[in-house]
Amino acid sequence: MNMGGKITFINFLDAEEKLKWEVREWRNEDFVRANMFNNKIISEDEHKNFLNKLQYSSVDKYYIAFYEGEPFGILNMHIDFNNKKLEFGYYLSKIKYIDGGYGAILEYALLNHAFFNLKIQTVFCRTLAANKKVVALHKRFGFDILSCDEAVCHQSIDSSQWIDKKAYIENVLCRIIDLEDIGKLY
Amino acid sequence: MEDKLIAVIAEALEIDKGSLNLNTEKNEIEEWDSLAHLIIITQIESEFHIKVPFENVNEIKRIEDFLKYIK
Repeated sequence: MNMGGKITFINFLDAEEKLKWEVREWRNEDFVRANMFNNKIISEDEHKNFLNKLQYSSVDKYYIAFYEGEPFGILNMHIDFNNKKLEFGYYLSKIKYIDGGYGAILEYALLNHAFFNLKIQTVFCRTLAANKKVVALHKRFGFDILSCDEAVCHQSIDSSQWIDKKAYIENVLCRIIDLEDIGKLY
Repeated sequence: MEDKLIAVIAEALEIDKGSLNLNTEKNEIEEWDSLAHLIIITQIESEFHIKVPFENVNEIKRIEDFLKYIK
């Protein structure tokens, strides 16, 4: 089993206009909305507002991830540079990408970018408590559970925890892709 | 062979193999997240000297789905 291709990322703001609007369609897919805090259909106006705000934001970053030139996911982060904290989220564009390691690749790229490029101290994420597989995935990456109630799980990882786990994650990912084929965020 | 399959999966998930059978779906097991799915498949490939095509990875929903690759 090997993906045999390259993963690349582009900043959402650098994407072609058509692609920026395709993202709205992915975000509105039932399987995506089912695991979102805001599970309503995103209207054209709402997407337009989102694009406008993103243009002027220095703390919110969105990336489109590609496998062999085919977009497969969206990775977003909210960065608190003053406190060296970052919160992230991601979703996949099509059901066929679930369980193929694509989510893990996004998480791997994000953690390396956060800790080694941005020099963040702690990375946070929030997941619907019902989305147990993703909570479990974050735990496998080394995240601690900060709190978990019926609705939401808060998890975090600091740089030393990621350094401890990185080799283990790489040992799994390298079975499906050459790690050098995972592009960098910028 | 089926016992070995279940044993490999249980070991990868670090759970008791008694909690698994051929009809077990991955969605039933909390520890079977997407990274665990890759670990399981690559372990099975190694133990049974088989290859699971990458495009079929997300078609494996329950343990018995592995049988077509190892039989």
